[in-house]
Amino acid sequence: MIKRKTLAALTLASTLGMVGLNAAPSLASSHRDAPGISQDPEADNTDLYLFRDPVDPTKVDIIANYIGLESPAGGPLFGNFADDVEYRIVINNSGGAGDDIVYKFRFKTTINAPLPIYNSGPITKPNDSSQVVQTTYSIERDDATGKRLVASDVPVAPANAGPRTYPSGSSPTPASELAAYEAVATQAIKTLPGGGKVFAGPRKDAFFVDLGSIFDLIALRPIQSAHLIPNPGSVTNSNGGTNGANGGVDGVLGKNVHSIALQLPIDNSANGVLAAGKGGTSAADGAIIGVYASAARQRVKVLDTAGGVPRASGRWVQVSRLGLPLINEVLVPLDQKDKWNATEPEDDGANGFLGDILDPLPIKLLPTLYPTVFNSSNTPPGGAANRPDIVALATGQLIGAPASGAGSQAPADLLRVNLSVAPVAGDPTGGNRLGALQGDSGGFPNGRRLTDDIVDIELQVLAGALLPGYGQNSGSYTGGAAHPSHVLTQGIHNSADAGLKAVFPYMGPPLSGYYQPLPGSAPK
Amino acid sequence: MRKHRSLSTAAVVVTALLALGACSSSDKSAASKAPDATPTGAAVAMNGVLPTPKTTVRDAVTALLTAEQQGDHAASFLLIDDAGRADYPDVLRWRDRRNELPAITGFRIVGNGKAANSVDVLVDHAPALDPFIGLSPAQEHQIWVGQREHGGWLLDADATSDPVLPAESGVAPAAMAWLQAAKACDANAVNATQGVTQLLGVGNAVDQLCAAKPVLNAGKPGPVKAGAATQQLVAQYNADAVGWARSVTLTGGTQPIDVLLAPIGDSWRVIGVFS
Repeated sequence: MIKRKTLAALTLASTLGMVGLNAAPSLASSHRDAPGISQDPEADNTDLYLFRDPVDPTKVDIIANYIGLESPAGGPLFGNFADDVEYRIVINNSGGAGDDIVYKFRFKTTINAPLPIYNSGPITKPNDSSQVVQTTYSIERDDATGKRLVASDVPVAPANAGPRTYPSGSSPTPASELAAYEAVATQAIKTLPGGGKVFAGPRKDAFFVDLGSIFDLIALRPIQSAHLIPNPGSVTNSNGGTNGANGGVDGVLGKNVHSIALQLPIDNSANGVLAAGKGGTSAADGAIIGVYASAARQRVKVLDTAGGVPRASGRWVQVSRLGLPLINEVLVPLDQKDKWNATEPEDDGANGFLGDILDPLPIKLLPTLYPTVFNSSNTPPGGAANRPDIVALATGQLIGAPASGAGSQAPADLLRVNLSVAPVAGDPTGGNRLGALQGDSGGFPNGRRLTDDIVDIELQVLAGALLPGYGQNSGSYTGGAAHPSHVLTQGIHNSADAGLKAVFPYMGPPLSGYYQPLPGSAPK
Repeated sequence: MRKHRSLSTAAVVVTALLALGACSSSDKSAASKAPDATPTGAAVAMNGVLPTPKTTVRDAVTALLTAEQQGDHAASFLLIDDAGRADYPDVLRWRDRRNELPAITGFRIVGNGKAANSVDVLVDHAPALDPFIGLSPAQEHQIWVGQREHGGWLLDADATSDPVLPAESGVAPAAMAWLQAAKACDANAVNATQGVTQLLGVGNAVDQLCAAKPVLNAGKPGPVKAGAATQQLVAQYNADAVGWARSVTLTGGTQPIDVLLAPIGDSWRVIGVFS
């Protein structure tokens, strides 16, 4: 009988930042953000990106990353999506926080030859006959009209093993090898029946963050001299630089990740993201959507003492989620992080998580960490009454949603984008990395681009950069430039090795195992 | 001196962090415990909807399954009990749960379950295999359990289910029919005897059999063997698949061939080949 019945800082995280010192290393935006998920990398949501497509403005791109800090040389299996995890991208298009549209992804990996390594020869297409480890996936969409199998047996882009697997002439270089790999990987881009595209596979992590300084008592390198424990002498960093304005060291340099990239029509079609009857021309016309990504496992898993395949069964239970970046790792107390991952955004208020967001613990630490810079008078107190800037962030008002009435948004940890705003391409060199803080309506918090400097933006915003009387004086961010929130920076302006693409899926190709860079160095 | 200062300042940092963390945790505890302490009546009302209990368990089952057959999850949501609404607090989450299960195309109450407050229903589905749901059997017995609440009968949110499978005696003949179609290189006959377009395991098995035309005999059907067959089957259709799938070994050639079959509707169809 099939029983379907329910069986039964030390978040010294930097001000906005990025980390929970009392957790096991929480890395990048949401890598290993909670005790439970830190033991389950295949289900660990690391980053979520959301932006109106700069090439085709009739589409919106959603990129959900999993499996953080992958070593490019992680053979023989390399990183891969798990067969027993259900990956999800969830969209709210009704102004609430519920799951209006759910895209589900299930992967299947097969071993097609009794060999001990990933492939038996060059790979010329995804799931080539020489590829011993082959992965495909299926996509389902659930919405108010029911559920629908969108696609099945879609190939996953293969791992980037190296120049013998992806030949590029008699004198290959890292650059020519990457190009040869990408010629194979882009064959895994599939046009979806009903509109849009999808891609799944390894990519170079686009996130950039100075993990080393953050985990060393949040001593941001550019302002170490003001730290409670100042710079212990002259330091030459692993990248050859020294502590200073641009002295950050990217801890994600040289690391890959696994991406699910989904490009969907901004309309009411079968794969569209707008609510029925909405045109998306304004907030009141349903232009604002909220997104989170998640991963779920079945409730019961039985291991086989004979070494057979483990058998999972029962209802699916969410084990990881990510909307706005850095919320769980920075703002949620350690003993609540697993609960946060298991619950849904629409319950953030009832579960007390909105209280954590509105009263960010890291901000209270600033006067202790940087006593000559921050004090009780220039550090904003928490709570809804004192932090209208954060309220505006959590309710979409920063991107054009009204406080009430048609188009208003429920407070929740959702990454929201206003699809009536023209897209602005991110600058891979960091030119518009601060998004809205630079007056750029195309960047965070209006969605999140791959190039947005989430660490600096959130550090500054949580410290009061947008709060009247603190960082925002005379009605503008720049008017409050004297406020110390403006000095908070990790000293990194872009990812040096992301290799971002100008077209879908936008994430750059994964670094190869053969040419993997040394820690702290950019790929040669 | 330097070391002393560092240690003392570090202690200040740690103390400050612990104090702040303690405040935050205590605040959180109070906030997060509130929903758990909410009495049942309030829990029912918190979503702005009230359940619609029926006068009998059978009436409740009929109403719930009728709503589900019509795709009306909002209506069926009103028929689940308090415990069910604790698990699925709103219609969207109830919809998510129902979407994990095969869609209902018809049903017939056939009797009571073993418990006095339970009902045995024969439920119809469109027979299919699905990578998200697994097997959608043509029919399955569902046992629904009622709870007397709010002045009438409501139902546990999740029924137990037991698929009605075609006779075991049809497994080996189905494997042989597929084999003959493959050896005859008859694509239409192969499609008629397969449950999927892409076989698990040896994906080009039909081409190989078409070329080699081996003389093979079917053994006795049994459960799916451990190893690659189970791994791929579970990866594609969840662990439930081990319960409904069958394996037949074909012998007589250079090496035995294990054929996997699934119960699609009232017949067995080939879904994989392992050698």
